[in-house]
Amino acid sequence: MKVFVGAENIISPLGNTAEESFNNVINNKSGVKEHWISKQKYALARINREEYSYTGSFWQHLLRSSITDSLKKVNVSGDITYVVSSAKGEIDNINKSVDKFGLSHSVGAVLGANPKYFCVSNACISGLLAINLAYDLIRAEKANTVVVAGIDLISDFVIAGFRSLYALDDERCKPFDQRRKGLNLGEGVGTCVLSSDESIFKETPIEFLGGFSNNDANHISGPSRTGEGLKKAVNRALSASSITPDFISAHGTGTNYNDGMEAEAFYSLGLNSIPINSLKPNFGHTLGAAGTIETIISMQGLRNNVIPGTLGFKYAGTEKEINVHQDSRNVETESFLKTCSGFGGGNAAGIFRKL
Amino acid sequence: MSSEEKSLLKSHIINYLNLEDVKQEEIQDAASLFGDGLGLDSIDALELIVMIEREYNVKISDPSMGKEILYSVDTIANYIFTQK
Amino acid sequence: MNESYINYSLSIAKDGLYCNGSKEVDLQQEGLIEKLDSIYDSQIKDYPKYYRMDGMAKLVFILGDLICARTKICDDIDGSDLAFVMLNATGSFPSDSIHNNLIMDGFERASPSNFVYTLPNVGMGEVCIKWKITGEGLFLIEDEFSANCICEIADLFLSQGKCKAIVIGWAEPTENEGNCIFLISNKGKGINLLNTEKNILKIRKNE
Repeated sequence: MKVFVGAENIISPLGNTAEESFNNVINNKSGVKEHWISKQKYALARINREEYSYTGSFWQHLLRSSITDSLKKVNVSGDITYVVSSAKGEIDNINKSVDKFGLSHSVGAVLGANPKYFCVSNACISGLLAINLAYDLIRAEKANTVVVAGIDLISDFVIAGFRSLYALDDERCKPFDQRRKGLNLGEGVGTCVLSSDESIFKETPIEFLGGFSNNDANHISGPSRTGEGLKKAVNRALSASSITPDFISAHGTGTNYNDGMEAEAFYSLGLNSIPINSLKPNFGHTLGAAGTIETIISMQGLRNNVIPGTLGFKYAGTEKEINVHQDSRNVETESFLKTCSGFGGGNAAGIFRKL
Repeated sequence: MSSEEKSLLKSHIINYLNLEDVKQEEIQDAASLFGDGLGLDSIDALELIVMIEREYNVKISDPSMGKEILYSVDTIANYIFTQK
Repeated sequence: MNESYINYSLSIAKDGLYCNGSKEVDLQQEGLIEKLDSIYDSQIKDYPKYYRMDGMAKLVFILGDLICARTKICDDIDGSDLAFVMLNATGSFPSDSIHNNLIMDGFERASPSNFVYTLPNVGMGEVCIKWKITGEGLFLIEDEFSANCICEIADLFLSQGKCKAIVIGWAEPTENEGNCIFLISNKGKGINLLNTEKNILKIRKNE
């Protein structure tokens, strides 16, 4: 059974549609800007809330808007299952006396009581895990059509936390670069629809060949030096699909350890000559949304025969050298591998191919 | 640092790192805290940096310097002494 | 359709720790954390990092560690063939609260060792480290305990070949009882309970 993915939407500092964000990416635009908080400089990719008219929760508004836009791009007659991923959900609610606290309640407020939905909260690999879960549900015939949405917002909670880990760069992040100093926090939502029925999509979908996750079993906030978990996940994805991808959309946060680990993993799998990029200089690290936003941009890359570049990349800075380019390139592209890694030792990989 | 001050330093280490089962006497002055010693990891290192700033008002702004400074109770004590 | 079986179950009730339906450890403590600490002291005691965990990570660690120890599943199958899935309603609420309170006095008051636990899957990561579990992992948030969801996810992972066995459970630190964990696989026909909603509920209620 084939599983198709399409009807994509992104709402981010780079636009309100997948196409807008994609165009800005290939035109080397970044949502990362300088912000000052309590006399300290931060580089954050924030959405300007004043450009939106909404009441109540901005998080719920974004999720609702993105899902609505995606649903306009499909004709579905039967039931829809939803999988929503978010690392921190509506974390600001912790300061308010809300009736019900928790990601599932936040999602329920947007979707209502009827639809069946799952909520994934698994750190930075949540978005790709959500896509993988949708794939499994469809293949097991537990669902026909699944809407997957990954969303996270920047909050004081998250800024203060990553700051305490010395994980932030106060300038735009430089994945895989010698000069890299840390990550930038970002926010946004990425939504796509998966289905076994190609005909529901108004625009030709992409084929999802399967996704896998594996744990490093090494350290809760640092990756295995040799990228064992990532290697396993990628190997399984490559074996299941039997293809060599045209490009890799890596996790590439810009931290010393993550990028070094990824390069090590890709190198040892013999993937070091395949073009590898990170979209985090454009979007920042969008946590639970990263897996979906970055997958969707890569899908746009397939649609437009463009391999997105890694904005600002100049000097190769990983022990094992991999094929990173600064600029986006117009190249016939058939397929890509998406990878994510996150706290708790999780790693996820998935392969997408043009029909 | 006097042995009393070192004792206090050890109790701060135990508190900040939640080393419930470890007694002050078990932490040797010159022994390595990381790796085989107390088996501390990189998160513990960051927590120690917070402790040193909070309790002694001494900043370690670059955590990569931390490895040398945080090697043992003695190296931490020396660093604090030189910064004050 | 392939049937799956509950090979082992653990449940923390108000009065004790139940394994496969029988009470194995008496627990007189009022609060959940006190119960967990008591279980750690009497049954585990070999993972010093336990003490820096928050309530949520402790709960996940205790459930995950005990089931791995009791079933010796990691001797039977490769770590990469064992899936690990946990669910709850409030995510990483205990450390979320602590972090939130600390930073009210400024970002510099944050504790790095507390912050790393503000993700509900991190406690699972600790179990994976100790037992070298390198397979599929997932943390799901549900409004409330759902036996149906546990059955469904276990069956999904097994039927889709994502694992040979799955450790799956409910770890809600705001609930003083009803936290439970199961080892489920396609083996154990006849001698083990069938993986059904009814059986999952019975075990959770210690019936």
